[in-house]
Amino acid sequence: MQENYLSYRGKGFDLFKILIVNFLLTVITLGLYYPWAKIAYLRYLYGQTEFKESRFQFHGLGQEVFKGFIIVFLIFGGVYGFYFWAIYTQTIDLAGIALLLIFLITMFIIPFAIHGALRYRMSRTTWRGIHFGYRGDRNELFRLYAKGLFLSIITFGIYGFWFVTSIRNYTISHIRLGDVKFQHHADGADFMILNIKGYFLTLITFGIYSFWWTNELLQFYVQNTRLYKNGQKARINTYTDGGGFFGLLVGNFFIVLFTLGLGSAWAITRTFNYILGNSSIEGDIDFDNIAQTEQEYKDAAGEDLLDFFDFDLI
Amino acid sequence: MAEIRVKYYDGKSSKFELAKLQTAAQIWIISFQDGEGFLQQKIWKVADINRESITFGENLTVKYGSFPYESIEIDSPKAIDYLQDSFPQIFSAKEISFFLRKGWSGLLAAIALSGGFIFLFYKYIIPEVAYAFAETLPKEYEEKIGESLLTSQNWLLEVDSTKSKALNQYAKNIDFNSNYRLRFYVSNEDIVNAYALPGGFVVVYQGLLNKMKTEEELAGLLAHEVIHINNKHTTKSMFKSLANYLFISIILSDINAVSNIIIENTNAVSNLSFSRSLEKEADLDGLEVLQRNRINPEGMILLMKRLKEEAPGLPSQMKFLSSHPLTEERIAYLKKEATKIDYQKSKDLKKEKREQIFHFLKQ
Repeated sequence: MQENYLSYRGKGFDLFKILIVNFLLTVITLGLYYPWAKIAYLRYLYGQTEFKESRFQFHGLGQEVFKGFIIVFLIFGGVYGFYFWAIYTQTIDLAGIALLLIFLITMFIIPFAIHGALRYRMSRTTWRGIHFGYRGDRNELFRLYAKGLFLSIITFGIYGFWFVTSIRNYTISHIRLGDVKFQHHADGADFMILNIKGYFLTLITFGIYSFWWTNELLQFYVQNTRLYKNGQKARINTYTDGGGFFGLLVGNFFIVLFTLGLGSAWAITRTFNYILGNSSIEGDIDFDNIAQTEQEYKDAAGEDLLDFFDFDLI
Repeated sequence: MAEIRVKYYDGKSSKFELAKLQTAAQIWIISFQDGEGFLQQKIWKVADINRESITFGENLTVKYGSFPYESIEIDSPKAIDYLQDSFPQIFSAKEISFFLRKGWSGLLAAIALSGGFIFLFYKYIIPEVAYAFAETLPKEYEEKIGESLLTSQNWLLEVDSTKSKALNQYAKNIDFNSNYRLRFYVSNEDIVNAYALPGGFVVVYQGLLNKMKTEEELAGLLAHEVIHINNKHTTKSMFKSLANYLFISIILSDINAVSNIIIENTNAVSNLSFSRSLEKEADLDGLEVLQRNRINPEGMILLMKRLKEEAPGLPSQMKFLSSHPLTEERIAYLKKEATKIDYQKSKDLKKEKREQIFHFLKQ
């Protein structure tokens, strides 16, 4: 049995430099640079995260993300354009159809975006040369999503807790790192109780409890996650607590506030430091012997274009 | 050449070998002792080493060939510097590195450049584009907007229909040279204010009517408000606000909420100053309307004086925040323009008619 901690080696000032340059280039290109900015940011974050003295790597390319960015832009631009044209020509029926389209697309693009983003991100992330992977099936996820959404609507949101949990269970359970499999089996009911309790306690304490609620959520996600490899097992521990989150989040708030936003880089660094630095993987999995299993992720085929969605871009 | 300590990965598993790297112009040689104690060597052709960009030189992974890649990890900053200098064809400096390398001066340049760019856009490009759009908006749309704004406040407004009719009669005696169908309303409320809505709607509060002593003041007020309508000020203002917000949203897509709130408030302040230049336009063009109709230009000046009595106004230190150019200023420039006008009471033919209605409105 071993317990190995994660660590974050990044520095606030270095991140600040990246963010400033990102900002400059994004402004000058009126937003078009955003995909490259995002990639630069992720490369830094991943590259400063260390496990067993080896850093993670993110190999994403701005060009790849840009394609998805453009597609999303065209789709939404097209439908919104249709909507405004309908308004302009005063054809109310068409406007109604356009609105409905906008609603449907927004709703149902989500599972595709999640799938695509995960597939892309995981395939572009490595540790010690071993690629992560996402083996989920897009149609399966879509079905899960549609069912969950429908049930949530007819139960006025109550089913939402199970819905969200089912999505998380599915997606995380299809993540791989070489021949290490991730599993996530959380219970929707537990999730609901956690959140209801958190919500009411936060109300009663005028917000103070929110930091403990945050920690409880993190513990919930982490404790329901397991790693498996050829009969070996591991779990994730996070030694964070409500008090620590209080210090972290309140501190971040003031840092960002008093620097008018310029201090964000330091706030982000503190957050990563706190959470990653207090996280460990404990178990009998031999990380020095993970086998490369994921396929090379080719990006040529048309239907894979959808896979370049990065959900955050939306 | 130097020997660099690296961790070597064969791409098939996460097992690494502690190895030594030696570099030459065309090849890299990686040597290590395998499990059985034999010396192994991997030869990498420089041409097939994957291109990398180095951002901060304290940790570097270099990949070789195609999937699944062999790779080496280097964690000595000196070694990384050496590799970067010796093999520029592999380790290109990308755009981001350009700024990062220059240290503080690069950063300041980046900040200054972004600031300058944003400022330019904000002050010049966006207003122009927004105004151009506002100009293209058809009259009918403006009317619809004004109408819906009016009806949405109808229940609050306490419109006095008799007085409104009278005000419309009053206005008929002035040629505003307007393309819009002008509709005037009087509200019973004791507020000292009046405003114009897109498409031709003007609302005047009884409070303001009560404050006026001569009918030229009312003429001046209506002229001012109608200029707002004729020149599409409100519409332009709306478009500019929208454009500013859109611009900010686009460029700040990645920045946190606090910055957003701050920028939005800055937006509000600059919106105020925009209105000030528009108000000045309404004052001066309104004066022209009076002049054309041979109405006493003193009317506008007296109107300003009434407003000044009502609200002493902000001390000049707070000038930046007020939406109307301070009343003193307005009186000053109005006086200046008014001296150029040759007013003769006898030429104002409709004066009597207007006076009558004015008295009725003041009751």
